[in-house]
Amino acid sequence: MTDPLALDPVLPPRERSRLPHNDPALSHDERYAAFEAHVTGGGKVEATDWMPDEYREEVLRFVEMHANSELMGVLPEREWILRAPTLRRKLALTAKVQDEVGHAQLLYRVAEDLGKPRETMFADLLAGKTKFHNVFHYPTRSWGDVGVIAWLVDAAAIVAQQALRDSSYAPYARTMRKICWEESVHIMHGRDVVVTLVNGTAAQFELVQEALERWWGPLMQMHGPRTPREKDRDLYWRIKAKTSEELRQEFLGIYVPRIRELGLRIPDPELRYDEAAGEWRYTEPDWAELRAVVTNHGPMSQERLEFRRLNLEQTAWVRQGVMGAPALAVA
Amino acid sequence: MLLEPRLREALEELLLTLADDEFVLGYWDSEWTGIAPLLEEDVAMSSLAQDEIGHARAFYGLLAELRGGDPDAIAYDRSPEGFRHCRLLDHARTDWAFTMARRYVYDTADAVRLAALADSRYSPLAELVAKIRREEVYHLAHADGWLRRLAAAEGEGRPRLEGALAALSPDAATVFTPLGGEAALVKAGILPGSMAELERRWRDAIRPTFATLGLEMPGPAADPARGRRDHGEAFRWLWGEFTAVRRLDPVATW
Amino acid sequence: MASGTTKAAARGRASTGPRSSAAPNLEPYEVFRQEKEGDPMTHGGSVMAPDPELAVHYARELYGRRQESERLWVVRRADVRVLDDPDWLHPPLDRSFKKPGGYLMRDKLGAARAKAGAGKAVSRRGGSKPGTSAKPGAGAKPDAQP
Repeated sequence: MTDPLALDPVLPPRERSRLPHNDPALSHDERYAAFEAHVTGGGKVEATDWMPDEYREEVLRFVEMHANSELMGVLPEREWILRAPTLRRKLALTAKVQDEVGHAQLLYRVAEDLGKPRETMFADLLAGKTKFHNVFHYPTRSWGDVGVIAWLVDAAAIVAQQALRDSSYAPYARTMRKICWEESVHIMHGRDVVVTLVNGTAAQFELVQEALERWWGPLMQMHGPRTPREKDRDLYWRIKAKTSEELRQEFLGIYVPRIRELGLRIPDPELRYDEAAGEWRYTEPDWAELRAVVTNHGPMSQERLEFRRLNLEQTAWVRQGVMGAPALAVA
Repeated sequence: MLLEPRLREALEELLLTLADDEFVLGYWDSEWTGIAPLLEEDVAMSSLAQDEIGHARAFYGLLAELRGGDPDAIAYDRSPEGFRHCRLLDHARTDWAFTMARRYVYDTADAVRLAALADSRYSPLAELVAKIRREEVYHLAHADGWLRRLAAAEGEGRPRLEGALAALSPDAATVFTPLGGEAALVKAGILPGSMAELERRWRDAIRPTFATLGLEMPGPAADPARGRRDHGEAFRWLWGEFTAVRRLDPVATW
Repeated sequence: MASGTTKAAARGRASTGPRSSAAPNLEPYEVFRQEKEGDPMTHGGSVMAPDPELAVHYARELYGRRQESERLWVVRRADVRVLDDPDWLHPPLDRSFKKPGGYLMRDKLGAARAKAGAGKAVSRRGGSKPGTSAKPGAGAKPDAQP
């Protein structure tokens, strides 16, 4: 088998060939037990290692949703590439959206190397079998949204992504390290847009204030509902390292002061830091809204999926005829 | 270099055509960001579009040095009639074959134009062009590769390419639309070669490739005198988009 | 042609278009990158491409568009030979003679020093006979210098 995956492994060389779960002479149960001990003990997994189906499927689901989110996340922002009001903003926004496409590429490659072809993943996305993050189901209405998304939505995403840099699935961990390095520029760009607007005319301030009011709800829902640590399979397998609530608290801790110092109002009267408890208190996010949105009932879900479907259909001739991709039906 | 008013005006016109060409092409091609045929190609195409905008920004910068003002104002604060890009760039991005065909035609024509300007006696222009040409090597490799790939493709690739080249043909040579003050520019060595001469060189440069691939050479420009004026519906739509936010408040800082 | 662009242009021309007449085949290409001069090539990731020429363009985009790499190697995944057979890489019989850790000299050194100390009256100069000197060699103890 000439499969050169895992050419730069995280594991020290001494350990690699001795992983018991890779020994085909063992029974499935023995391999499972060895794998479980390895991963829960902090061990890493490469694409060429043996994995129980449960782990493989969980990683694929996680990575695929992340990849889908980058792919769909491009759509709200790319409308504004044409409308950017200065040459520098146009360059910065184009580069930022380009980065999201690049991240989609990196993540789909990780998922592809687990055995699922890209075209199949696109088909599943369009058929609603797989999901993408809630924030990308909402409309953008003004240049204010561009700032809020690039700053705060990206910030919330980075908080989550930084906690994935040590994922047990090593190809994903490596990709997350590259992505986190690349994302740092986006937050700078987003914050710059917001601060510029805040410093500008009253109308410009209103653009960003109004955008913030629309985006705050989805932002608070973004990391997901609280789940008990012991029930979270992604945590158990160390695919991710932090709970939804830990991520949300981290986001609030860093960004609420930074939003307020600009004179912007966060539309949650309950939002405050409880010193005694050592955590942020907030109005309970609308989890029903989150469920509806991620099952493609959001305000822009269908329109954006349809846009993707049409785009994939219109460009299929290039992939298949010109680039030699296998012909798979797009749903 | 001391410029008397008419020569200065001619130079400003030249710079505006260079800037507007890159600006408009960069805008059309940036539309592919997020929707190109393959994710990898999407990233590549976006880099090409960003390079064009970067070149436009640099040319507007030279213009701003000459006539004052700031590059953003020069670029954005005009009506559609004020733009001096060539009609080749009035077409929307259309499909992938059209975009690749138009990039090939534009990049090869621009390469000839830049090669001449590399020896311009207006040194700010010559210096900028030297840098731009180094970036253009990548663009030419990409465009040439895609022309060949489409020409050799099975399925729809080849017919779409041929259709695109036919649609472009009446506008292909508008990159070399004669400039009003051209004679003065040529005489002063600012433009080392007339547009007619540059067009000849361009055709000589691409003819072997077209012959090898069995493709029909672009025809002469239809209505050459108006090659940089009378921008149509597609460009007007684009103008509406790229001025939309700015027109909310042209004097604000964005 | 203006100076400074000749070499670059020639490089560009050399990579135009699919050179082989092979049909396009969308497949993975591995990308190795060098972070800075003198660094080893390390694996960056992979790109899907229809031919080697576009693979190079895509490698540049995904692993070099921010000017973060000094050099890239781009190779078809199918062309990479992989060795991960434990019988080849970790065969079972003793091979400790191949590793520094295979040489444990504490007791022997102790004995040699003791022996040399007993004959201290012997001149320090030329005090070693062939076959009895403790050669400086790879060893796990402080006395042994590589």
